[in-house]
Amino acid sequence: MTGRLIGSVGRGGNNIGSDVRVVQTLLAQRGYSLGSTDGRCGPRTIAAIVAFQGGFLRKPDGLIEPGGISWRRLQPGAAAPPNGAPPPSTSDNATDDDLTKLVDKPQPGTVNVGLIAIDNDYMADKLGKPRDSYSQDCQDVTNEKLKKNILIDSVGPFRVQGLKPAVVSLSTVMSEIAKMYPGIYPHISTAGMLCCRFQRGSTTKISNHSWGTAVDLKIKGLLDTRGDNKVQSALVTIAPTFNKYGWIWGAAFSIEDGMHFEAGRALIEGWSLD
Amino acid sequence: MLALKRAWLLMLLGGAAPSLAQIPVTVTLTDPTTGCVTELSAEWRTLTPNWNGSCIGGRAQGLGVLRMRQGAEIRFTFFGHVESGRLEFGVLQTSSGFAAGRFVNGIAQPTDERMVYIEAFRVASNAARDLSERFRKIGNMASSRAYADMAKLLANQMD
Repeated sequence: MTGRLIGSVGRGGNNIGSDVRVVQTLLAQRGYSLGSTDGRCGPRTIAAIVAFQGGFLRKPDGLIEPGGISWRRLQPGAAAPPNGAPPPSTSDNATDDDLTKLVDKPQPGTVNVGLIAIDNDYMADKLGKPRDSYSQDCQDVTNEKLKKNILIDSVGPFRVQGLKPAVVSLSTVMSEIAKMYPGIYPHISTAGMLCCRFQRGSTTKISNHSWGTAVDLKIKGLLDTRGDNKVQSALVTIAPTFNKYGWIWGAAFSIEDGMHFEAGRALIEGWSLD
Repeated sequence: MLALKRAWLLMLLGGAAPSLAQIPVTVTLTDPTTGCVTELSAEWRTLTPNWNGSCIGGRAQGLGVLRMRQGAEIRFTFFGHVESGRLEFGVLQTSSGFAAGRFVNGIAQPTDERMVYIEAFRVASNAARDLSERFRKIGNMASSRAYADMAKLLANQMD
């Protein structure tokens, strides 16, 4: 299918249904998973465009314009951008490649749609406080009920210590990422899940990691820089899968935190602890 | 570099070709400005080190900042603790993000212990702050401000 675009597709585009369907089909043919080719340009379609553009644009903009470079690259027969190609270095200190290439953080309203973030009061009410006192260092959970529900387990590409229903949910997310994005999956690792402490720099607010319901991810061993308003392109690609299962992506926080994913309120509401 | 040359010399002299186990994973590189030696991942053999920190016995030692250049371009910067020329603990800044924690042969060791990352960024921030202070004392205010900003950025990682 070559098709023809009447208008632009993607972030801020005209997004005419038939055009969107053409782009979705071409992306799907190249192995990008968007769910359905329904002619609606949502976060997954935009994420797929950004991931595709990451192979040849320094600054993917999530927009495909008729006659533009992204449209020409999308045509059947055009060279496919490398997908998860390993970097020249075999060390953990990987430099630029498709997966860790930095792109602009998502536009407001394109991620975490319909998801509600939790706060300390909600979590204390729903799950109880993890411990009575905190510092800037990670300490153990002392709340007996929470303690019984903390486990260490593999979620696929890495192991975590977290609250059991969160670990189970994270495992489901990772299973889907394995199927949809096999080029990314093996390169995901973690900078930890459970850590009972104050938020960095605070003496009153508790980090959401304290309940074991938040996780920070690394791509190819690298942590995305917090607060630079850029995110690694692989995180853009996998974020919709997290959203699908009720996890909120920190890239949309007031201070961009692209490495961070946390269980949202609707997900936690459905949990009951032993 | 000397160890690498030694291995190939052995081969040229008719010795057995170096096996993978014999080929070293580190190289020693010298800061051309200070003469201070660092021992880094062999993958960095084409880069030039610039070490800002103590130099004891001719080798980089203690808390400091190591910049790795390729020509005029800084490819990586390490903030943290170096032991006898080798990266030990801290944060490596690349163009795509940070590698943090304990280092062996110049490579950040994978771990899921969150406290390791928190501590690594603390140490890294201290290293940047120390360098900022040193630049301030010699009147280089632009560099002092740049490293003060870097110290703040490092301190602001890891919720």
